[in-house]
Amino acid sequence: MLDNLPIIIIAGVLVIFWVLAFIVLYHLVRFGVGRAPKIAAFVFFVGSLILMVVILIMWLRLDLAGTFSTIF
Amino acid sequence: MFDFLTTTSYTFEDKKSYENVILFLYRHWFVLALQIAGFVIIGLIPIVISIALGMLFAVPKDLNSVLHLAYALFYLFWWFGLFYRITMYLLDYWIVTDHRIIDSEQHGFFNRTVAELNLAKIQDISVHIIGVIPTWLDYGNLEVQTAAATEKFFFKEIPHPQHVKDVIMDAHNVYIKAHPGDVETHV
Repeated sequence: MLDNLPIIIIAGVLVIFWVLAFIVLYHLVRFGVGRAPKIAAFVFFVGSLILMVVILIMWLRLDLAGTFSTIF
Repeated sequence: MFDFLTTTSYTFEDKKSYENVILFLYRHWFVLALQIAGFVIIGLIPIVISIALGMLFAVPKDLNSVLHLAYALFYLFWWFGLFYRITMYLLDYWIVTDHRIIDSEQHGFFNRTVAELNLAKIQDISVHIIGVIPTWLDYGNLEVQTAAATEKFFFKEIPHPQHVKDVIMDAHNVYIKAHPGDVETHV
């Protein structure tokens, strides 16, 4: 269980983020009037995807065992 | 595919087929710019920490990759916070049509107030521009007093409030002339 803790934390953080992101996108598309809210929703969605990919790449490149042995 | 970016311009829920939008107002851009500037400053924190750590210690490569992941997670929620503010800005708006005024304010997620006022109910309009920057950039509050005893409509931090006041008064006069006795002719 403890071995899986970091991946559970990362997955939890990403799930929380996408729930919040969905709420932002829902509000912008559902209640926004005119073009600006739709463009903002599109930019937010694309930016969120890019940041998530960056996080996943950094996570995959991470060597936690090596890091802990370096620190302790 | 991207029709939704153009075809929804100034159409809103419950817009009558005979109704024309005269003004569509958000708060002044400077109000949003101030909030974005605050987020930009917050966004510099990881960069400052990274530079400071690099100057003070020789950070091991493994620890550096952990820090980079932490920075990326920080920026993910920073991105959310930035767009939360932009969302609140874009969902606070005031619409003046040739029949009514609509005040839509978003106070947070799932917390929304929408009020409307028939143009015939307008009694007087006042403009408040307070401060150096609002005076310089010409933005401020506009207050519409209605026929009801206490009810007031507030347009908050809108651009060119004096011009908006004139437009509303003109629309009010045209509406009164076109609707004698406040009877709606379009049904």
